[in-house]
Amino acid sequence: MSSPQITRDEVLRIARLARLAPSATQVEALQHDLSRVLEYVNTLSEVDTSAVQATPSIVHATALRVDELVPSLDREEALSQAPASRDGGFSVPKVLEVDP
Amino acid sequence: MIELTAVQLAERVQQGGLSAAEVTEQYLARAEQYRGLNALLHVDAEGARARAAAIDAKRAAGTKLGRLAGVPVVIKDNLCVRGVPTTCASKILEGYRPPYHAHVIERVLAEDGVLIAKANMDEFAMGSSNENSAYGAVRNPWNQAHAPGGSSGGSAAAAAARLAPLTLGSDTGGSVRQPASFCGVTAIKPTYGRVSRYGLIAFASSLDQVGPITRTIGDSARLLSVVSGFDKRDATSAQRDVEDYEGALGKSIRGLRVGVVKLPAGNSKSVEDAFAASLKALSSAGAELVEVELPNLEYAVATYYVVATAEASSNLARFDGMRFGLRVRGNDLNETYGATRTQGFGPEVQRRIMLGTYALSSGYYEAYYIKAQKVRTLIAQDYARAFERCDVIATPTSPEPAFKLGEKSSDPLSMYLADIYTLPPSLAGLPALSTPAGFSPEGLPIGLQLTAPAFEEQRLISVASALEAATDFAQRVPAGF
Repeated sequence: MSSPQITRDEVLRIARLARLAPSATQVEALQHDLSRVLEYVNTLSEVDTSAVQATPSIVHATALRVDELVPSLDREEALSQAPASRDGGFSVPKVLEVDP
Repeated sequence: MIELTAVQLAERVQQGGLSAAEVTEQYLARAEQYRGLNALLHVDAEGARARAAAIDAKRAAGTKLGRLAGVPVVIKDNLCVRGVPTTCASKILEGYRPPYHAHVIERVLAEDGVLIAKANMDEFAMGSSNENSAYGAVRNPWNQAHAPGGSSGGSAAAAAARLAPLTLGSDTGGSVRQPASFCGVTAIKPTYGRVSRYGLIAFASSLDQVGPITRTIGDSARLLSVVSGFDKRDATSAQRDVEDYEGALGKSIRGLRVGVVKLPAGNSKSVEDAFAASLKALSSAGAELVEVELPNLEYAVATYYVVATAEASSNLARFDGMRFGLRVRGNDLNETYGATRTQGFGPEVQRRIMLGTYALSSGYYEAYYIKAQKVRTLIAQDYARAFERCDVIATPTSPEPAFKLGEKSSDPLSMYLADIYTLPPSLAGLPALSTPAGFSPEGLPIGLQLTAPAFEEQRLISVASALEAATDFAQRVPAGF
């Protein structure tokens, strides 16, 4: 078997960026699967794109809308699907550590 | 009643020959009878009955009913329906009830359609077999040991098994066309921007489009007319009038130039045979066959799996356990994110988020993401050049008929490679359709894909309608349904 395209450390780095917490078994499987797909994706390097513009999106016949105030979801509805809410807002785990 | 097309049903309900309530009861009974297919994740019996009663009352009061009067519609589970469970077949959205309707749902309801159920799918529309659903695979009505295709496998199986005359799916890289091909029905992936994506839970925003999957081209044309059109809530929605899709039905294709690409290797013999027979039928109907080239076709799979996963990794960042869906508590915020997402997403979704994050990460962004966007440009240019010589392009929809459940699920790359024909039109933002083109010796359906220039859906509909008139493939029904 050829050497993997992506190392175990890279898998862990990418998982951290993606906010995923794979188990040791999952890390191994991801290393294998991602290496195989990336090896295939590397065929793109055969294509000469030195004089080609990138296409981020193909949008036909559209224009920006006017930025105007319109009614939207009311607060109750917006909060109705949240795992936790309090005082009219989403309740989330503490983000900042504050010294006592 | 189940033999009636959506167009026929709407007419009967409009004229009072059938009540919306009778039609709804019949289809709710079928949903129950064929639960074993696992095509439907949630049947909204109560909502459907209330809706049918309201439509019947409206008619009794003398109001003219809409173009989908009393017609049952099955909706892919990534389209938001207010108050009705919408999970994307994922554990991370279990129990989620959207507080608003998708644009296409508003349009269906405005024309007096009746939503009867949410359809199973590959989780977050990522897959080509429906095996990535967190709620189990859908079975193909033609042979229940086989996959229905994906990701709109539940919608396609529901259309084939006559669980509803109309179904809606979504298509990012073939997700309405390939399952339609596997299930022997018709599907249209509209031009990018033709149908609003408002309320479609995003997978890859530069590719996603909502499209109809139905038993006949006439019904697809009707449903496409209803859901198409400008919507200011989607910044990529096209500001132009909707073409007359139903007017394109039955139109002669004499003199129409059908572009034919030399097929890459790796097609099953039954697909090559059905493709040759379709070309012959087109020729007999008066179309002119011309050879065209799409030189960068072979790079479409690699391009797509970079572009789509990069966009997905960004879009799916919203599933963080804070505002909706699952939350799994950890010791701090980052642990909560990690635990929620790792327990909430299935393996294929995590694989694609990882791949996309990698392609967008510092040091790899130019080599993968920008490179893929440049090859995407070349693929779009290939089409522009080919359409100087032809009006539509014909290819198979899939290199093979429906494979067996489990056959490819352990090898993601082999599953991706089977998307070779459906990915290029998506990357170029073009409309494409899959129409029934025959059966394998084992009795599994095979589809023909037709692609047209932007906003030329009418050409696709005329060609599919000519083929439908020349064969009986669309009239066949899987045994037992």
